[in-house]
Amino acid sequence: MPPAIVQEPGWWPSWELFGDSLVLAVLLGAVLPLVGGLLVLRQQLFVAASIGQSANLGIALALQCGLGVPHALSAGEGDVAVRAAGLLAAIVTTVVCLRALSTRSTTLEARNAWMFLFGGSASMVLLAQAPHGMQELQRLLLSSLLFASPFDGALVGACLAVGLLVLRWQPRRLLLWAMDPRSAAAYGTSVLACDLLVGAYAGFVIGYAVYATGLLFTFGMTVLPVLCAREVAGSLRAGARLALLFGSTAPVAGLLCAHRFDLPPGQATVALLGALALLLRLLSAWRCHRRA
Amino acid sequence: MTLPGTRPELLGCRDLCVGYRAPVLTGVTLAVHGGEAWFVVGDNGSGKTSLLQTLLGLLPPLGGTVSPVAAGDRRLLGYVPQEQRFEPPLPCTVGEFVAIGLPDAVPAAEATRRIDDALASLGVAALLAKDVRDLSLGQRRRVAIARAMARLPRLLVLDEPTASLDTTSARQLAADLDRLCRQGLAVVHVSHDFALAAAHATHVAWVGDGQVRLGSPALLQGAHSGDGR
Repeated sequence: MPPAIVQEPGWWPSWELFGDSLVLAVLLGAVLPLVGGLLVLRQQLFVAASIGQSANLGIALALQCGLGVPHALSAGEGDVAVRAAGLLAAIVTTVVCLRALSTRSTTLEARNAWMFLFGGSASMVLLAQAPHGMQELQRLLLSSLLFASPFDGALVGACLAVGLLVLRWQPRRLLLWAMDPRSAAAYGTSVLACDLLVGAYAGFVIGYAVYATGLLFTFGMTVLPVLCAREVAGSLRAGARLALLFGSTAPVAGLLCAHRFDLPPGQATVALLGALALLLRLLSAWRCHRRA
Repeated sequence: MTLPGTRPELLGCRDLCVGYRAPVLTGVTLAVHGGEAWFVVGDNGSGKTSLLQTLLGLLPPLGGTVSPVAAGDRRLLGYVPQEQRFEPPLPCTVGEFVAIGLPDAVPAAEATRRIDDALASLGVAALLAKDVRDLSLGQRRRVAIARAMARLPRLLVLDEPTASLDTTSARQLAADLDRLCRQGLAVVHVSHDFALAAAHATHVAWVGDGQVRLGSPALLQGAHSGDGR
């Protein structure tokens, strides 16, 4: 019996198969750290995970109410009503969390924890008996980059362009709102308007990313590029640029690794960035130790 | 030179009632003009910060009227809140920290000049490239005030600027602010340091027992030894 021919995969994956996924992952890798940077400056990093779980709950509610069908049954394009429900839940959660900090609510941590736990458990309870329900939840929680469409890429690209334009137009106002809302209010900035606008933007981006790629990839790309940049940057400007660089290059490395070693690409990307964050943290600690 | 009574009011109120649900302070009337050093003094919890926040429009008044801040142009206001975060979770240089307080309309070259001047006026120009997280408490206070000064304000409002500072640093900071005041700036300090107020104020607003008593620093004579009321 002739030996089976095992075809080794090349280092570069097929563009026809993975092109849309790669474009979407790179664009998300650039836009999510923008949102993550603002959340980090507001010391609300964990909010990203709560927003993700809340988006899942919105999707679960829409499916349970029969407003749409799971991703698996929608010819790969997803369902508009389901997507909208996830986005709406994510936006509401983001605005509520941003307002809690601006109004100095002492319940922010509690709200976050509640949203994370309730969103995560209720979405599972709602979909436990639904046809394809658990499959949909598994898709949302496990993260997959493999079902991206050109529309996803175009929409996330537009979000990135809007984010960069606003940062270019009003950088100081945005940073003052993020770092010192009381001074921002004293200087005439409407903190409520900023909470609503930034909350809507961040909620939309995170909610869409959760629907398109899943919770793990979304949370990982929101947080880890910023943590990596923090370890090596010497200023806010450098930190922002490095976060964008880490975020947009990590998916390329992740997808290549996943293709070469037959790994799930979303998880491979997040694991690579997580390892890089740890390595940079150790290097930074070693440098501090040597200086001391 | 401006005649008395013709100078614009930079901060003020008429028959103001301050509080959250219930009134904390009632019947407050005051007017701050350029070149005046006001000290709003009182014990912890007496309502100093609430009064300040109401005057700045950060807290809605329960009654009375509040004059437009900085004669209606908030670009002319410099504000240093009581709690200012100097531990940003991302690296931030002193130059960036000061720049964030400027309006976006200020061009980059002008911003650089203003930042340099503001830091130099408070004796901390050498800290420009340093990470704000590495500053001492005294340096942080000065950098926070420099951020407000870089706006080229006509009214500078400081909430407990000398809190947690040692006596020497507090005196130095107050002397620097005196100098700025002599240049025409109106400065409003909120403080519980009666001795500092007695030494550096031109006007005093003493907050206590739900009322605000206005006067000259003489009002505070003996107050820091506990027999002033």
